[in-house]
Amino acid sequence: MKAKIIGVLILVAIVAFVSNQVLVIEKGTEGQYTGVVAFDANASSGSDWQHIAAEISGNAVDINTLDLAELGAGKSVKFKATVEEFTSKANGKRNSITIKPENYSGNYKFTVQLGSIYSGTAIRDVQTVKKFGDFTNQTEWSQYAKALNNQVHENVVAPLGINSEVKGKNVNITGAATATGSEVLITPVEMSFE
Amino acid sequence: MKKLSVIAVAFAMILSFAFSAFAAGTIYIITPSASNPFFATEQRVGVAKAQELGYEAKAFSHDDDAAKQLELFEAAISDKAVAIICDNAGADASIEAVRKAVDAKIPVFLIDREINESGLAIAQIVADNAQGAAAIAEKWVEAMDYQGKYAELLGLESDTNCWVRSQNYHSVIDEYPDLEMVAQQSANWSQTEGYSKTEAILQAHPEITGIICGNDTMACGAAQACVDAKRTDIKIIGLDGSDDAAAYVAKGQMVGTALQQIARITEISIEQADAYLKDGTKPASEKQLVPCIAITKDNVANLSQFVYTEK
Repeated sequence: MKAKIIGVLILVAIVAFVSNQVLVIEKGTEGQYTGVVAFDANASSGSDWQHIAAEISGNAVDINTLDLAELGAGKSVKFKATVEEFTSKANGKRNSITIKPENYSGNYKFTVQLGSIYSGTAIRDVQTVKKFGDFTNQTEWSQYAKALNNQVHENVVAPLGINSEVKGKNVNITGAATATGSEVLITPVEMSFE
Repeated sequence: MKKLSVIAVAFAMILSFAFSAFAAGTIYIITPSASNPFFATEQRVGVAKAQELGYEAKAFSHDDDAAKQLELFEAAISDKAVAIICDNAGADASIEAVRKAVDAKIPVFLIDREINESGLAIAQIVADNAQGAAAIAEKWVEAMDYQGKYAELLGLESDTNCWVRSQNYHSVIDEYPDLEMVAQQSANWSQTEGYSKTEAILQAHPEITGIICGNDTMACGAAQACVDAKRTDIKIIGLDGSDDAAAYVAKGQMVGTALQQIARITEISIEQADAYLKDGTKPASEKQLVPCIAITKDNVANLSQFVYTEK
């Protein structure tokens, strides 16, 4: 009987204590309590970049060994090529080089995109570090592709300061390649001019 | 000799009866109204693929009515369907119907639209609208030569895809400071509204040189309004990959569209249903994205009835 009364008293004390405590959650810190954190594609791609670049380099095959008609949504490739032309559009936001891969004799046209704005989702689509299921929706998955393209610019292309002087030079490229019709588009993860 | 051929015919008939009696069961294909060619494609391709793999197939429309959809699911359950392929009538409203089928041990494969619940359907296979919007927006900024004023026709604003498409158009376009949006209005996915809104925009903003549209029906309305106003200089894009849009693209009255590969998506759903029914194989992940294909005058000849065939 006595124990029961003490129990009830403790319970009353706990209820009184808890109801006095109001937890104030500052705006923007909800994630610390709910575990739902606003998605940041840039942060996510930044920490994944080294792994993804290494994966693409590791999987890359010589472009001359591929059936280019089978490139589809993307494959990891590597090759040596000669720069045929440097093109700059949209006030320098759309730079690219057309190249001729060494030992290649087919009819495909090869372009390497050099940003600063990049097209497509090839880097995202050839990597396996992250998959669609890791993201909440299509838009986040799409932002992730774009953020990876920004990593390409920051880590691979921008440091080289490429301009029209690269015409005629040899270049070693590793990257993700896609094809539409007879045009191959390469997004580089490693690149060096000789 | 004649007798022999009669026997042969009879034998063939018996065989075909026997074959149908041993059909691997009935697959239900439930979609929105087949008066829209996009959904008609789901029914046509779904039935053909199911029959090719030895199933009977029945196709129905729920007309975007969740109550009717539930009745169709109940009909499938009492008909002892072996699987249901469904392009559903609402992300929340459809959960009950899918759960009923799953409780009755009928696997469900969702196509085109997702539901707001994971772990019920075996597969949710949808077109990558975000990638498709970005891909065709890239073609559009090129056609605009990275500059100019433009208008946007949004879809139904309560629809998730309206914003997925708009956001991803802008993720590409907004990187170019010389492209300026001067009008943004909803035309509710409708061709007649696409036409009338475009007429009004052309009056108010004759300086525009581009219109981006959240789907092909609105884009076709916009393109026709521009043709009628003799403004064929205006660069228009849509998204879906319909034959109507393809006709405008072929004539140079639209820059392009992004094909949602609904025929391929439907085939994949039947293949995954077949694998699951044969030995319980589930796809690697429930939610699956199928990329869209950017369609411009360069490759529009490869497109017919939502099927893209590289020639």
